[in-house]
Amino acid sequence: MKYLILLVTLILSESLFALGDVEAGKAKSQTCIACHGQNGISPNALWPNLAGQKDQYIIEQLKAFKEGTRVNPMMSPIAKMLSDQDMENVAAYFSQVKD
Amino acid sequence: MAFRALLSIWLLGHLPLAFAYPEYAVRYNMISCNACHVSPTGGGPRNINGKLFGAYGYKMNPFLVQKYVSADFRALFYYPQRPGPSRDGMGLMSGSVAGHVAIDEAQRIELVLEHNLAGFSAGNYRDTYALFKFVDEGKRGWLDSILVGRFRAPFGIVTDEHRTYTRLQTGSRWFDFDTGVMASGSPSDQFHYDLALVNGEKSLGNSLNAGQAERYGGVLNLRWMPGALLFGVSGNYYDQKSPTPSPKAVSLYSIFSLGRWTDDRIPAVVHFEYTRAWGWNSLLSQGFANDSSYVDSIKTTGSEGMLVLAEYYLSRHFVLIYKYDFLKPDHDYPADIYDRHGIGFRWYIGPNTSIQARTEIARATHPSESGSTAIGGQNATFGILQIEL
Repeated sequence: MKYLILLVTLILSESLFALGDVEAGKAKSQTCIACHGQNGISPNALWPNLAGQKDQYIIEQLKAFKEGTRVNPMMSPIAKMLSDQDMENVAAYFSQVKD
Repeated sequence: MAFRALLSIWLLGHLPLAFAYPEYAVRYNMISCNACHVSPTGGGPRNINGKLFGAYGYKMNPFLVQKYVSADFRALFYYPQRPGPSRDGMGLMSGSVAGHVAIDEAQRIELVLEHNLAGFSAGNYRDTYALFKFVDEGKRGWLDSILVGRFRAPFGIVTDEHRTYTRLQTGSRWFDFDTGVMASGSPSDQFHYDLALVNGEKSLGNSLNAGQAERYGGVLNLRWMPGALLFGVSGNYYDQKSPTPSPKAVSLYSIFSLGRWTDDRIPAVVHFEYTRAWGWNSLLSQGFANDSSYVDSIKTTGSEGMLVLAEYYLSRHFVLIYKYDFLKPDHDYPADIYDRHGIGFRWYIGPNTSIQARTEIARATHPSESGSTAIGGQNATFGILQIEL
């Protein structure tokens, strides 16, 4: 019985925390790779890698750019093109890319 | 000497020189050009973001990732349909260097000095201005900045594709700088304006001239970008004392980013521009038209022009280009027309480094222009190597 409860808990937790659709995020990531590099590895020192980044962190930063609580001349307009679902999808994609 | 002068004058008016890439602005939702360029109208020196973005994913020399110096080098090979002693071959288009620095701690006052050190002689005095910024970087408002000095006029599509009749027709070629004051602002994420009050002297205007204080000019540019489609309208007017006609022009333009619209499933962009102009046709005498009496006859007529430019990204580094443009020097006599189809490519081979090649089929219907050795009626093939810092 306790193994069943553990299994159900694991399944539920997976579905609760996997916010985005990886495939949809990969399609949307074409916007990101112009600066953050193919597969989320940035070609320069000023723009960060996204590969392997925590999904919640990516979502929070994108929301901050969109809402104006964080400002950057490149990221702010780009974030405004993304819906909440887009952000979750993109975050899900980059968080599972291994650098 | 005469050979070089003729070559310079002719090529200056009719070959492409980079300005900016407004298709990127539409693709990435940037209504103001200063996300990448120092100037809010785009073109000219770039900031760090512009330099890194222009690296196209290639790794840059880390010493060049800085915000104080920009440079622009272009080498050209040009082969026209009817090559003559002064109309073909290889040359340097540009060897331009710019310094730009914010002089106050808050970085609200920026000084820009750009000079063309090598290449064609016209347009040596390029961006030379002080830029006063009223909003923090990345923010916007009704008045983002005021620019004082010499600058590129914010007219029409300020694009890397400068081999267009629409620029020649409206006095907004790559070397047509203005001197004056320009206010720019972006009241919303979708709307941008530039308003310039200038001395109306164009290339002569970098110094004092007799009667200059009595003349004036103005350029207004409005852009609206509700999504993947950008709409713009520009107007210019340069008051001159009679009997010299006061040139004026208007441009309606649009940029459609299919890449943005389709999440890059169709990685393409289409530019469109329609122009009407009055009093600018004397510019055709600078090597474009063959017959000076023909140019005299159309000096005061109203002209009509159009540009369609389509680009398709086969990969991130290789772009196919198609262009069509036409010019009717006299709108009321449409039988006289110049038009041109061109196909080619642009290939990014390194950070801020590209090769462009194109062949164009041109036509001129006026009897004195058809079959002439002037630029207006000739087919041509050209290649450009471009490196920017």
